[in-house]
Amino acid sequence: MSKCNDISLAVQKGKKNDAVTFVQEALSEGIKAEQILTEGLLPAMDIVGQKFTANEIYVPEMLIAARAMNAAMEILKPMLVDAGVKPIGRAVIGTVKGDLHDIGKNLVRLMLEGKGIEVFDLGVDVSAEQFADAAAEHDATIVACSALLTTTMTEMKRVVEVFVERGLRDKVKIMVGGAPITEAFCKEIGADYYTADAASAGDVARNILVSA
Amino acid sequence: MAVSAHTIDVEFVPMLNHVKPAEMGADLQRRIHTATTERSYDQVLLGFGLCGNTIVDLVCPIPMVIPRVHDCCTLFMGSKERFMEAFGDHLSMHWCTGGYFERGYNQGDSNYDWDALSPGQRSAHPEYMQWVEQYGEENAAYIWETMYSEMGTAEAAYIRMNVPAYNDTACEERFSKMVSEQGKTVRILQGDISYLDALINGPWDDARFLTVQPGQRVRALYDMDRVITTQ
Repeated sequence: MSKCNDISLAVQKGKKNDAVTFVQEALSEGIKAEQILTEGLLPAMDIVGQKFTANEIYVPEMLIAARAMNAAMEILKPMLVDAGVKPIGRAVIGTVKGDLHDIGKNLVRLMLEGKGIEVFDLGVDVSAEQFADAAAEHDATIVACSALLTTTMTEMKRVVEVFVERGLRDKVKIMVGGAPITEAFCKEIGADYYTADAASAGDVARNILVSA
Repeated sequence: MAVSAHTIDVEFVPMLNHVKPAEMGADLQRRIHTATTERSYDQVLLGFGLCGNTIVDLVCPIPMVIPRVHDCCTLFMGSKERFMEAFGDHLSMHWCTGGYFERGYNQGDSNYDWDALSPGQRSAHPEYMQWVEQYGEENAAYIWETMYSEMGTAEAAYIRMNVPAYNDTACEERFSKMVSEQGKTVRILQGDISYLDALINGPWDDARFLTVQPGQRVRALYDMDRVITTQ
């Protein structure tokens, strides 16, 4: 479908206005919202993620691509709801308590949304208890925690502990990331997945939900 | 260092490198190797903290002394107790010293000059101009605001080091002006040179310093007390 391809290319290039125009044209041509999503927007963000992982594009390109996708999604959302199209799963995301850095967290949110996941963004300075409250409230399968400082990354251990204390640990997969985080640290604190960048976080999150 | 009883050769590392811990760690390891191969020293004194895991896995063929701190802010504050007193509830608070201000984000690189990153200056910034050319004005503005948006702290700290013969009043004034323009208040903190002094002159007591012996590797503890250990 060439119109979906046009939409995909516009998103990949971060051309928000073009993406919106092409989506509106596609709808007026009778193409269904779900088809635009599955054949235009989601493949676009897949390609963006792959190129980011391969160092072919960088954070600026990723930001504007995700922005273009969000603009297109705003048009499609009510139609997708009416058509009964559901997200592939739900995630809560936030930067841990004491830490106010949010660029990485925002990128992960965008990539998760680009995989068709409904994301509840708790913002920055999020306590372990707030993560658990939100996960329970939204019945989330994924809890994604970000930290940029070695002084705040220990809060991630507290997040895992609170989920255990509340009997919620088996209901969620806990993902951790951020500049000082490592695979070894992830294992040490009992989290489930460490990802080194936003694109791989999107891939891992989708795999979790698809295999759930 | 000039007045130290020890004879010390100094090696500086570009400041911006700290945002790439893996690359900076590799760079530090190369520098340690080169320095200890080319000359005979008794110790390597590392003026770093854990710094985003930058120092994890470092090895040294001679004893290497490292302060037990998360980053250099604790060194400037003089002790982990004074650091926690000022930053414990504000671990993400921006802070600055005279040296930090003078060097900008990256030593000698005008792209990362503090003034150039001030509000109102972006249109002349080389990185911004490149984004405009590549992605258009609207996207460039969005990228800038996302990448350089100020974190939600209401304060930023300036640490006065009170070192004799070093007047950083101009740095403090410029930093304060810049922070005010961002709608924040400046908290003036009194620095304390004693931790840095101890790094240079000793004693390297175990409470404040880790001594890495030949054959050992640096490991992170991720706590607020010991911070690092060896394996």
